Parts: sequence; structure tokens; C-alpha cells
Amino acid sequence: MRNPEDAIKKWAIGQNALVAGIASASDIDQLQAEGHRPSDILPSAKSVIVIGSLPFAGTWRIPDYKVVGEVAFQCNEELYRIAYHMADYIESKYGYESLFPPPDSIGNWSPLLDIKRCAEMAGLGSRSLAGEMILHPEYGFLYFAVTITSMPLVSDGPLKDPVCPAPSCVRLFEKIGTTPCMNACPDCLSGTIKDGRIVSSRYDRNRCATRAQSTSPPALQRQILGAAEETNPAKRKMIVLGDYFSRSVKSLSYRSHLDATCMECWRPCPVGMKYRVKK
Amino acid sequence: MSNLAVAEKKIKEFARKNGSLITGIASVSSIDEEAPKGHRPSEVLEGAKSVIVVGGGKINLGAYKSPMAYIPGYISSVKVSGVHRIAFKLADFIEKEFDHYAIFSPQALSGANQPVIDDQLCAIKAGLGTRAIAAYRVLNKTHGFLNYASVITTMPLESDTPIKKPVCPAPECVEMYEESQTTPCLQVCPQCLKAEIKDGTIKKIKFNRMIHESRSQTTSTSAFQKILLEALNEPDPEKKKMMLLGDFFSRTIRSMAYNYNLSNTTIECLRVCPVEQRSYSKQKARG
Ligand code: SF4
Ligand code: SF4
Repeated sequence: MRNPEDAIKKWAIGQNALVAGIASASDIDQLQAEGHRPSDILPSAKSVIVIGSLPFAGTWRIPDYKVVGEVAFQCNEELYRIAYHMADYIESKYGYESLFPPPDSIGNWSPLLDIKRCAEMAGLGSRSLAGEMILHPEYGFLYFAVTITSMPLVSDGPLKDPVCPAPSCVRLFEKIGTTPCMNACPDCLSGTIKDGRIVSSRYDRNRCATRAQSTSPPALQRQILGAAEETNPAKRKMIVLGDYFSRSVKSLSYRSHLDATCMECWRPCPVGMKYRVKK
Repeated sequence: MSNLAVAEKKIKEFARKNGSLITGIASVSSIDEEAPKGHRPSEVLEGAKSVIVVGGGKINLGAYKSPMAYIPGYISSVKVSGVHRIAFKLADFIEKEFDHYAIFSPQALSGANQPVIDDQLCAIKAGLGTRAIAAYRVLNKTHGFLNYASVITTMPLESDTPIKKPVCPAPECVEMYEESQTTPCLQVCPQCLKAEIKDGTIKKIKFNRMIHESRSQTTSTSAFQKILLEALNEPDPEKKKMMLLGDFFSRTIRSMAYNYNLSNTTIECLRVCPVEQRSYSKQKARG
């Protein structure tokens, strides 16, 4: 009989996840701040199952970055659906408490659970210079979702060798002091590479948000503040009924292009490039 | 088997295959009799004859065990969407298979807090459970508290009979009430819930939705409106900025964006119900 680790991963892949990995909840607990540990969310947590998938390759052929974000965001939603069904699946098949933790942030920018950390600890990739997103050795950047369970499972553990920087990026950095991702977005990203390894890495999240998430919830808050502060009634009317405010409100109600990035740093990464190209 | 009986069997089977744990049928007239004007199935779909109610979307035991109060609410909101999806598919099935008009009950509210159709009332009329003291929700003897969604159709179907013997109060709750004038749910939330039990049945029941909402739906759409109003009325520009860019307002906006803990309860009163607890015992979930 197949072991439960394989059975659970096979189930997830059967539901349309591209990859699945398992991390130990206590290993993640040790690395996370209080209030953001798997055991803070589910006290009996033993394992964290992480699933990942790619946006459609067609996403990369969309010229308008706003549409890119929206299409990619929907792939993320599909993963969330699989992860919450996985909690049901584990409870009914194996009888262990399980839950799909809300993927959203608490307050402004603080995710309840660091999904990137979980993916790393489940062996699904390593931190990259591109916004510290997790880079999978085969598929490149992926979206992730997790299920926390009280089921003790054998953890896959983190990868031994970092995926980023790719050999061609190391060569490029040695030549011109940059990599494809940093080159695509020098305002948000910077980093240094030595002996083929990342030595320092900086991702300016606040700047990235103002550039790429221009119709996100915080963007709407800014606009509401702008309208509230505006003393000229005609100008206020223009703000509230104008295109930009309309787009932000629509983005909120249709859950489109909320938290997705512009993905320009993702686009030139050589890792997993073949999965972003079709006929 | 009559044609009607075959059709009903097909409908219930379709719902089951699509994830409904229990399915029942009520006549539109029986719901119309109790629902207030503007909230009757016959007002939503002209010529409506039957309402089919699907129940499911039980919260994972793991979510119940989470100490973070908003997690069960979040999971519940995800589960509610799953049940609406079943109703949506069922309406489509009825139109295609039986050539009758069918719609799933609209999720929109009329006014601030009134659902267009009371799915809980429909569930009672379809024989799926009875009113409980806990949050005035429908309690099913086997499945405890479920989420419900309805399909309204012009198809005439035979109704299921409403349950005669109320599920709530459970025998242990009657005992507890006789001893200490409270039940597990009343005890956990005396501010929102009030009830009187006599001879083993509920004589009076009160669920204070307004208190409940301000306690447990702190990131609901109404909370958003309240904060916005306060911020707009705030004369100090610095304070206004803090309110509009602060964590609390951010949470309400995110909650709307992600359909996240919008109108769900903290579930504290459901968690302690013995009928609800028994419904999980079959699952043997281990901690
Ligand atoms: S482009 Fe190169 S440096 Fe940038 S994330 Fe990809 S592998 Fe790393
Ligand atoms: S705990 Fe459950 S059965 Fe008991 S009174 Fe409350 S809702 Fe009814």
C-alpha cells in the first residue's frame, strides 16, 4: 500500500496541483514569529502540506500588466480551492484535524502564515533575488497554498542547493553586476552574488506595491483618504467617480488584480522558462 | 414509481453527487406563509412551486480547534460558497433536465441585514432540521449545523415533511437547563442569546443580531461602513489618516476583497453544542 505522504501528494496532483511537498510544522514554528506559527493556527499541527502551480503560459503573452496580474491571480485562487478541499480530504480519509489557513494578510502587510517559508521547508524551492519569491528547480516561480494538519507525516525538508542564482545569472552578474530579474526591476530589487551564491538580497515591498498593485486594497484606502481630504467638491467628485477609483472598487468586488505583482521580474528568469513558452 | 418520484430521486441524487450532505424539498406556499413580504420565494420567481434545499459545507474539525477566533469564520465563508455552488449547479440541472424555470436563491441582501430568501426557514420547511437556540440556526440531528442554499423552481414536486420533534434542546441541554437555567450555547454567549425551555421544548428564543454582529463580525461590510463614517467625520487630519490607513480599516477592506470573515459568526455557540459535537464524533478526527 502506498504511504500516506505519497497518497496525499498524488491526491493533490490529481486535483490539478503541479507539485506537492510536506514540511514539519515544528520546523516552521522555530523560524516564525509568535502569532504566525502553524501551531498558533492549529495547536495540534504536525505537518504542513504545500501545493504549488504555475499560471497559464498564455499569461506571459498578455501585453497589459494589469490583465497579467488578474489572470495569474485566478490560478492562485484555484490552488486555494484545492488546499481547502485537501483539509476535508485528510479529515475524512485519515481522521486528523486539518485546516486551510486564510492566505490573506492580517492588517496591512503581515500574512498569517509565511507561505514562502512553508514552501521552502517542504523542499519546493529556495528564495530568489526576484522579490524573495520561491524558485522551484524545475518549474521556476510557482504559486503556493498550504494545508495544516495534525497528521504526522515525513517531511521533505528544504533543498540542499539553492536554485537561485541560475548558472547563467551568475555569469551575467560577474560580467555586468546584475541578473535578469534585478535588471527588469532595479527599483524594487537589488542583491549581490559571490562564488555563485546570493550574499545579499533586498526587495522593497512598499515600492513594489505602489508600482504593481495599483488597484489593491491599500491603493483603495489611499484613494479614500485622498477623497476625504479633498475640500473642493468638484475634485472630490472626480476622484470618487473617476476611472482609477472605479477600477479599484471593481478590483475589490470581482477579486481581480488585488495582490498580484506585475511579474516583470518573474518573466526573464531562466529557471522554468520552457514552461512559459508554448506554440 | 411515479414520474414525480423519479424526478425527485434524480434531483436529490444530483445534489448528493455534487456535495450536498442532505437535501430536502419544501412547497413554496409553506415558505410564503411564514416569510415576510418581499422575502417569499413566489416574489423572487414568478410561478415558483417548489424550493429544494441543499445542506453541507461543514467546517473542518481543524478549523473548530483553532484558537484564532476568525479562522472558523473564514473557513465557514469558504464553505458557504461551496454550498451555493451546489445550488447553482442544481438549478442548471433542473432547467436542462426537466425544462422548468429554476434559480438558486440570491445571496444579495435587501437592506442592511435582510437576506432576500431565508435559507434557514427553507431548510426547516424542507424537513432538514429545526431552529436551535444557538444563533437561531437550523440544527440537524445527524449533521449538526450545516450551511444551506436553496433552489427555487416552477417545477411542482412533493414536499418533505418538516421535522416534528425539535432537535434543540438536546437531552443534556434540557437537564442542564433544569439544573442551572442555561444551556451550553446560552452559557457561552449570554449577551447575544436568550431562551426559555419548558417541558423539554423551547418556549422563548432570542438572538440579538445587533450585539452579535458588533462582537463577531468586526470585519463585515457594516464594520467598513462604520469606520468610514467615523473617519469622514474626524476633524483632525492626522487621526483621519491613521483611521483610513490603519490596520483595522485595512482588515475590513481585505475582508471584502477576499470574501473573508464577512458575515460569519465566531461560532463559539455552535462549537459547544452537544449535537454538533456528536456530528463530528463519527469522523474520529485525531488531535
Ligand atoms: S533571474 Fe536569475 S537571479 Fe533572478 S530569480 Fe531567476 S535565477 Fe535568480
Ligand atoms: S447547545 Fe445545541 S442543542 Fe443545546 S440548547 Fe444550544 S443549540 Fe440547542
